[in-house]
Amino acid sequence: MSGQEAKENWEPKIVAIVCNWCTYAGADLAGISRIQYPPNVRIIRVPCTGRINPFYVVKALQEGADGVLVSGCHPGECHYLSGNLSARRKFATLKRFLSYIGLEGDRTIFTWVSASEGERFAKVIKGVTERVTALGPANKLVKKL
Amino acid sequence: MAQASEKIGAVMVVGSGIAGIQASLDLANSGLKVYLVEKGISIGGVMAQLDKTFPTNDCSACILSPKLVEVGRHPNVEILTRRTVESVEGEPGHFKVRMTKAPRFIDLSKCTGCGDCANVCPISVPSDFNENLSERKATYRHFPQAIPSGFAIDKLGTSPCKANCPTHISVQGYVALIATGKFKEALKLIKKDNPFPIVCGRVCNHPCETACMRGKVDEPIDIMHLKRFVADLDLKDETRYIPDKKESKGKKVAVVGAGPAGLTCAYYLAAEGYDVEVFESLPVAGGWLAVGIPEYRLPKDVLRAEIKVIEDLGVKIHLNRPVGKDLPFVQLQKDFDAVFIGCGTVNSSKLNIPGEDMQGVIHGVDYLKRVNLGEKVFLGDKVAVVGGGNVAMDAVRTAIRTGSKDVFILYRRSRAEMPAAPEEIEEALEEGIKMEFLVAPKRVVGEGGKVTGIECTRMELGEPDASGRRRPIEIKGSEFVVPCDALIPAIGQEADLGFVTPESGVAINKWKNFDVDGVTFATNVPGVFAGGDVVTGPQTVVKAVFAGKEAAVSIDRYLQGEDMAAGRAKDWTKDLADKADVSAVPKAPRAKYPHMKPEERRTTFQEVGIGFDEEEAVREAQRCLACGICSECYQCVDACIAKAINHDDTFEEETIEVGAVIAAPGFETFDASIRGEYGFGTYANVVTAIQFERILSASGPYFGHVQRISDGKEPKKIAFIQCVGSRDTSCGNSWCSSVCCMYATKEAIIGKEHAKELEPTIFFMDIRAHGKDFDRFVNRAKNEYGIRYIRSMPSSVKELQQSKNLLLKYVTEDGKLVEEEFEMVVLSVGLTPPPEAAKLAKALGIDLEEHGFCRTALENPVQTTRGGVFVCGAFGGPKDIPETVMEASSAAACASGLLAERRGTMITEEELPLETDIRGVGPRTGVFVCHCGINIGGVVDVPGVVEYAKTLPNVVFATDNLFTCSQDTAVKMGEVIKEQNLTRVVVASCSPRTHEGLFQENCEKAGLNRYLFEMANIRDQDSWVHMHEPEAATEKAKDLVRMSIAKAQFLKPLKPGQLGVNKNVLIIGGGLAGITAALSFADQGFQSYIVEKKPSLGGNYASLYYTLEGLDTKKHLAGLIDRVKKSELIQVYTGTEIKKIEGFIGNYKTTITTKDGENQFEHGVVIVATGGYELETKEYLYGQSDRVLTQRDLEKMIAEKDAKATAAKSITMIQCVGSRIPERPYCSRYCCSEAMKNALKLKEMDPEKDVTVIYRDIRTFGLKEDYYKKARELNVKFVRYDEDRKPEVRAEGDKLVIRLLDPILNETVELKTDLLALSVGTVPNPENAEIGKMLKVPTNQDGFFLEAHVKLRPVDFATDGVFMCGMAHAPKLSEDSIVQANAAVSRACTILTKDFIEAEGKTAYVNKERCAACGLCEANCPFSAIAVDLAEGCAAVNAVLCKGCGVCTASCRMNAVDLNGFNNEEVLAQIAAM
Amino acid sequence: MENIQKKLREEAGRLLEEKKVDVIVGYEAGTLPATATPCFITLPEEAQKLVWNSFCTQNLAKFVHDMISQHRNAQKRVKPEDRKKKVVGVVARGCTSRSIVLCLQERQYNRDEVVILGVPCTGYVERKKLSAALGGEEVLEAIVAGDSITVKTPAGEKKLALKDALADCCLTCRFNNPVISDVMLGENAAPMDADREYEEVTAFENLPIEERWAYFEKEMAKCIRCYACRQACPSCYCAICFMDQSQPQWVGIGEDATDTQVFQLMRLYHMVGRCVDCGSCVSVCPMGVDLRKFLKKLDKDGLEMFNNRVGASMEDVPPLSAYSENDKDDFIFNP
Repeated sequence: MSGQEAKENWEPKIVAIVCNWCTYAGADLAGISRIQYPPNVRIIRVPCTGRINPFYVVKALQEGADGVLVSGCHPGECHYLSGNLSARRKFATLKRFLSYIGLEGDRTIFTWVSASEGERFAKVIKGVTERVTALGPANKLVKKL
Repeated sequence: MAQASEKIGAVMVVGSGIAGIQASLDLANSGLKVYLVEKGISIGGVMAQLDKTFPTNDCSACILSPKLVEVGRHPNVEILTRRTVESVEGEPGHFKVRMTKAPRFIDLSKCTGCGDCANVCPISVPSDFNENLSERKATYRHFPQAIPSGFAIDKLGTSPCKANCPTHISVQGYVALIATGKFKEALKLIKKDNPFPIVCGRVCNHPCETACMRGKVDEPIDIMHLKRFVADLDLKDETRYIPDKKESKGKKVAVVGAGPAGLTCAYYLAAEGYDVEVFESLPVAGGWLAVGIPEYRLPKDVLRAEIKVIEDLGVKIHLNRPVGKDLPFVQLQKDFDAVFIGCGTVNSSKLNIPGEDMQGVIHGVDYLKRVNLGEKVFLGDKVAVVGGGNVAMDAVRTAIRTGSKDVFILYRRSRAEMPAAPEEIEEALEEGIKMEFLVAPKRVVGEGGKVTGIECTRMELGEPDASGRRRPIEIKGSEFVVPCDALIPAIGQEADLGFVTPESGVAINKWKNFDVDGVTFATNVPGVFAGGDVVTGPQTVVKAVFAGKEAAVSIDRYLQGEDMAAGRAKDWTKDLADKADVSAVPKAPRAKYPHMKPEERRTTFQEVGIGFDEEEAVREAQRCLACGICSECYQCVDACIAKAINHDDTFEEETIEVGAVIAAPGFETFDASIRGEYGFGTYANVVTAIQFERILSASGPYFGHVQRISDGKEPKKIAFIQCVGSRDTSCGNSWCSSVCCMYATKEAIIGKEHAKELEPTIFFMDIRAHGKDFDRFVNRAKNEYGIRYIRSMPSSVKELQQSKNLLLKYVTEDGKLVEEEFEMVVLSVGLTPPPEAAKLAKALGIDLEEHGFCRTALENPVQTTRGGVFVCGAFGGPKDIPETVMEASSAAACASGLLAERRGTMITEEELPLETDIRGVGPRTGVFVCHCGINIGGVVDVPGVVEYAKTLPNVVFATDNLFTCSQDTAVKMGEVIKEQNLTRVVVASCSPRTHEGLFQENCEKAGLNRYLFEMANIRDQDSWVHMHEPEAATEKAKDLVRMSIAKAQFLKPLKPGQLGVNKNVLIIGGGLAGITAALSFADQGFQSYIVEKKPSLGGNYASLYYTLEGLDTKKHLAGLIDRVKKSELIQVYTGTEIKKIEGFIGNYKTTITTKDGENQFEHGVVIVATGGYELETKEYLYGQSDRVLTQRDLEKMIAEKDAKATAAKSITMIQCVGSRIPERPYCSRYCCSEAMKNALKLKEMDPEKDVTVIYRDIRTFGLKEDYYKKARELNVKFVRYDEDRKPEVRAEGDKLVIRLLDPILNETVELKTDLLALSVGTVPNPENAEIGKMLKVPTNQDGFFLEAHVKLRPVDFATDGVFMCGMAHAPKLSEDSIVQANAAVSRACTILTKDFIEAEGKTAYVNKERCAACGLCEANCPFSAIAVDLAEGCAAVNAVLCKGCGVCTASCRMNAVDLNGFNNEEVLAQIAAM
Repeated sequence: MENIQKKLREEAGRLLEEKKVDVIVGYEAGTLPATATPCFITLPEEAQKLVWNSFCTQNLAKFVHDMISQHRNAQKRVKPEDRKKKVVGVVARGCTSRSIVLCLQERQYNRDEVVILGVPCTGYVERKKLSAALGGEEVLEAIVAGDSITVKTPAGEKKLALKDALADCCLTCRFNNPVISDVMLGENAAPMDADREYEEVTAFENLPIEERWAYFEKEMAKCIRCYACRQACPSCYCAICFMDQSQPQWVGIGEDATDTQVFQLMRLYHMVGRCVDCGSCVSVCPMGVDLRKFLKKLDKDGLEMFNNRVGASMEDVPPLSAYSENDKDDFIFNP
């Protein structure tokens, strides 16, 4: 494959770390409803967005993810009462900081998707995929193996 | 079988909304077996349909789903769907419940919930879940998260077309398939029951169309020609449809006669694997089809093509081989294993009149045969045909085509009695054929042996004969002669059975037909079968086909040695789906079937009917009303790989023994079309609140986009009309539905959040925001969201034609008539008793109250009129979710109190094998990749994924399964785990949310720790969402599998911590709630300590005398206290304060200070029942004038007949004193009822007393509304005031004067009164905060305790082991406190009935060496489950309190805290493997 | 300043004399000219060693934490009833006092385990900056007077503007006076130029993204992973730094550039709501990595998002120890 071809055939690889109760359930609902969305996202399930160590996002970028999505319950709907609120502060600071050091904002995306929002989940994935695709392959912070 | 005297440790819960679910979980979690009975196909009730819940706007589905999953997977709960309770016999503690089970048509034990059946289902019906705003299939699941997750088929019964078709083809089925463009499938379906669609698509008498319900609307569906359409498509297709042939059975069958009966029999037998030979005397196959029916109706080449398929299937047809002389019948009997006779009726019946043997007389059968076999026959110019059947029509139309000029029919009855198909008659008339009715031939007139005419006589119609037609009677002397060149009698046919010789043994009856068994078509001789015209006399093609088909079944069974008749007799008139009301179906005319022009067809034998084109066929098929709902097209059967579908499922009866019954059938929303003035059902943009709820829902018909029904546009102005079907005696619903004010407010807010431009207006009578934090919610709606509230009920709604906007007419409070235009109207429909209430009550042996809700005991709102039968939820009266949940727990407490001694006797605890020690083994991973039928395998290359998995590190085994969740795979998985010595298991299939537990159990049963399991979701999150990208989906599946395997390497076997449970209870507070709880605990067998600060028990309840409903509260309380005193299980400390509470769930130690000093005891749970206080007010001269009282004072005066009360001529009450004001923005809930109670008592004392209530909103919610109504009837006056214009009170002599603005008169009025009673509100116990601190539980902004979840956990705290009841929670009525107290007991019993509390397996743990005790974990933990141990200098987790959210772990900079099951190593491995 | 130093010696001597403290952490004159170095005084007579001048650089809160936690760990081997408290006196300028507040908020020690000798601060001379201003010439002696610093070098005497030699963090310091103290030595110093606190960050924020990344990459490329920053940082008190952890190994230990980037990124992120801008890390960094460019950003964000100023008051809650329903949602993606 020539370099040009590789570029044309390039598909972004996106990691989504999502909470079990809302977004993961929302993703399941999208499936049950057969709502189609781009196949670029790999979901990692954790109990709560509150469990997501901000370093996971950094590590995912270093491991070569072209984009990282973090999604959980809407504020006020956390299965664990306030886990998503703890998470929100962490990711608000992380996202600003990563952008400050020169990482494109669209590489790290945070959102809320509830268990009943299958449609929204698909839209989120579509939106994230579009944005990451527009950025092209990740080349910052990526460990070359 | 239990002894009659022995109680049964099981409870039946009838109804599976949130009430039934909560009751079931409480019971099952406290050691009782639960049968959760549901009439529908899945559980969840109305809550599943809601978008958000008030007042927190939580997502309803999000909070309900985990409960559904929990109850669905609970080993002690058996969910029984599609059940109706028929009767309950026996005594409390031992009931026999008889139920019927309606068919589901899908076997839940096999259904995987994949939905393939629904994908292929051609029938769409309005979705009841989406309130008819979208469609679902006839094969369906109620909603995506439904439990049981399996599908069901919606059948109303057999569609009339199918029932009426002699061959019982699924007519509705193939019509539906045509409507959806599935033409091949339609043909296949037809051929399942009839191998002659080409023929029957042309010449059938189509009784299906006669039965078609569409005929009652306009005209029947043109079913026959639809059949022709698909048959012709097949005919023109390159490869024609030939059914799959079974393996040869090595047996031979002979068929006599190649007519429709014989060939049908041959077709089905050949398909079954038999060698079939057909013997035909004529030179052509097809019997009457070939030689009777003229070419212009059934072209010969078309018929030949149809028969060719039968030959292609392997049937040998011997033409010109008459059975008889050369081929004796007995020879056939010898040479073949069975014989079918279908030789038809080939001889014409005679007129039996003089001159019948003259030249020019030719019988219809012979005439048609000659023409059809190619002979040129010219009969002369003038031809008379005698008869009114199809043969007569065929003959007469053939005669026209062979050149005769003047051809006519002579028929002895009238046109109405003609047996020929109406379209045949019509076509004949079009072709210029004349018909003489009511004439009968008497004699053939002729010259020289040649016909010149026929003498006839006129007839008239007499009484009906055996055929049901009116018998023709000759009119004497009316003879006349009709001249003609030829005469064709076509009045009947007979069989020629000469070949059936006596030695064959086959009996022939007097009509020269065979007598056969009605079901099996067997003759008197074994192995010889007969069917078709030879049995029935001349009949229709379809009847012959049916006979041939049924005989084939018999022959197969006969040859296989099976019972031929078993299970075959079917009454098709039963379960007929013909009862639907079709009056509202819009008319749509039947497609005009294209014909050749009459003037063209007179000279040709070319086929008259041209046939539908595709567009016409589809349009015509779409006219079908889908009477049966399910069309029985059997597409689902083919699609279902799990073989779960059974269309023959039937009703069944069953009986279950239980100790108690809880009725929770819920409610029905009011049918808004009853209030016609609002235009529901007529105006598109008038919707019910529950429809609007679906419109708002992200999973609803419009995915949460607020839009109008008429044009899909986002509305701006939207009106909510309250009390539709509530507080409305005109429709018989006098009660208040309790929830509508709040849900309308919620829908208005959410609507506005979805569509910023929305301007909602709520039209109401009183705003009833009587629940916890409800008034705040309404205030927010008004102030933050700008929602407009108008105190008025619109009198009418009119639709504007152009815009479809709605014009509302209403009168403002000060009497102005206003007309206002809205773009959408939402009707806040009320709650009514469930439709099955009366039947259910009868079955349960309980009484209903006057409105049709369940009658309950005043002392206990969950007790019905029958002991051992309890009620919860809206069946006992309209109420909202938290009250329903409290009642559910309360009913569970009452049931389990009755059965406490039998706990644990009916539940099955599985013995698990000893866990394998995996130390030193290292990761040996087994990977199981699921096809899920075609759900995954149809998209993802499953074998490819398996091969890939095999190449990954530590994978020692990988395989694929058709269904990994099936029972046989579970067994296989267990074997593999043992054989391969697996230490990790990875399943790639569906969602861990639904299936993780199941697979973990498989591991456990094979001795592998359940936490050594990991899942990859390659269905819901892969194959289903990338259906059109198989390669990408396969890549994704590989990635997900790799990630799961990577994580699995780091999984650790976990042992959930266990902790002993102290079985005693601390109850803080000795009011009504506290003592009710204590007594209930005693019933359950648990010791409790009541700690009461005051010197005596009773709390606020002690100051009451009676309730609004008439309960004597003094007597009630005395009884309760007496029982408390007598109980050995209750220890009361009055005049006592709590000094200290230490510990946590299961292990508390409390120190109390009594007058005798300190005391200490241990307990496992805490009930907070600290109560509330009556507000002390200084308003309205209270404390200054002895004529100003509180309602409580007034109650006492009335009850004790105080002279002041008896003497007072005028009494005025002011409501909301100290409630619903900025510093106390909550409603005290009971005050309106208290005012009503005292007002009615005063009127009872003396109807002449002048009683006035000054109020802001009257909040007599639920069934209490009747008392408000009664008060108005008794002339109690009600005057409203606004918050910002409070009444003013001054003393004037021995009277009080109240000055206020009457908003209706819009002027200030002054009232003089002898007594003024103030409805003062409730304030929380000021010690709540202090007690909260001791227990680490929060209070809300008003100072009441804050529950774990306002909707679904109204009794629990977020901290496990602590529960609340009574006014500690919020202001409430005494009956509410009783319910909540019992509910708290039920919740507590889920802990106390266990010897050990099992912690979550996946909890946090601390690596002490890393911990620097910074306390960030503690600060972020929502459950106070982790705290810094200052002495140790590091954090410590309380595994019992830990819920495993992991917030602490992500907060920890040192990574000292980590989470089992999702630890850093595991997650990083997943990230690295991505 | 000499006045303050005198008072400091008196007060320190008295505290030791009266056994109000077990040890005092302060500064003594360094071995090189124009330097000061941390010292630990346990005897009253040693108090005369203490100095307070513009060459006192390091944030001594680091040592308070280390001493108390070491002592506490040692005490774990003692029976609970025999355990002894160790009280540490510390010379604290504004940033040091804020570090102490943060440690107290993070429960690293109790308020009664530390006696704060508050000193007003007018900024300290940052050695690398001074050296740069001198063009690398050796410093033989340096005297600060008013706005200027006079330096004797082998080449002669040079007079520089003091601001050219003061640490960057000092120039715009908002908290140059202690936020808490037990004994305040001297009057509060005049405020520094705090209004310009975030000028540099704002300027950097406004650079094109690729330039920002290039700068980050360039700066991180200098890092030799000596961990001096971590060792000097008063907020870096983890028992085992994530960098040193295995199971899992968070960051590779090889020479991969991204490993260094990720290490720094993660350590920086640990400073959310925790960096007092004392400049210790900058001052100890042998490679001159511009860490402050990034740390100050975190500080700015903490203020903007959570209205937090690190260690400014005991009543404040560190931003990551709390949450609010009303926290901003503006970074949330809404398709």
